[in-house]
Amino acid sequence: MKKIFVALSIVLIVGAIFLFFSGEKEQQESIGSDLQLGNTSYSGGNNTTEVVQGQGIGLQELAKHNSASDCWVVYKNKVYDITSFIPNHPGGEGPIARTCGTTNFESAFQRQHGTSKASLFMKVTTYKGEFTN
Amino acid sequence: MEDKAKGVLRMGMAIVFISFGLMQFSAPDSWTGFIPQIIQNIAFNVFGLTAVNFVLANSFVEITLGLFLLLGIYTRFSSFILGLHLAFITVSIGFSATGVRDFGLTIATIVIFLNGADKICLDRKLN
Repeated sequence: MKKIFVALSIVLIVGAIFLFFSGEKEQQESIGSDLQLGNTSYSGGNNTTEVVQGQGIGLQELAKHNSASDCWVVYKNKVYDITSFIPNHPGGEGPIARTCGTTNFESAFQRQHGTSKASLFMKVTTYKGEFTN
Repeated sequence: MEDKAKGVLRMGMAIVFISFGLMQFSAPDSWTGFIPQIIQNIAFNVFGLTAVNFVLANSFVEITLGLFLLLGIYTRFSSFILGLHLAFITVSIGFSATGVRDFGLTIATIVIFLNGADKICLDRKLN
């Protein structure tokens, strides 16, 4: 009986510490309800088209930017240029490069990071426009 | 001397597991690359766990069972689970410097399981 009590106490204490510190981490990284524009400047890339920021971007235009050297992705129905961040991605270039020019980025991102890196995503990308299906 | 050796081995391995658990908790993103893709898919599709959450859950288990091992509570049970866990990691890493090191740690954990509760375990004092 004593043993079970001690074991349960350890589980509860560790669990409480986890929840407390995980909650603090989430708070620091949460994006809130407003998405912010990215502030990373980008230069270069193939198949560039003059896109006026804020205009609608369709699947055809998105698909032109489908490589690690020129990578546009869709997140929350907005198109972002993530090219300059790809070499700095801790998980390597592959996981992001695979989603360039497609609408698969958001699901892959959420599967990997949930919402924990959403605010960082905003800081390292450049907003290109609204995604129009 | 033999009894002390068993206790030292148990507590040493406990520190290893607790340390790895703490490292995973403090920087889960750095550990997501170690999760085999099939496990990642199952965790997400069946349990709705992102890779980061999976690492955090793993760190919780390692720290908790590491503490059990440190104190010598449910020694056999915790060493069995941790040994199995480490064996799986060893196999998935394969034959490399890290894999060989993890193989040694797996064997050490299995030895703790086979030894059971030593003289300085709480298992003996609380029974």
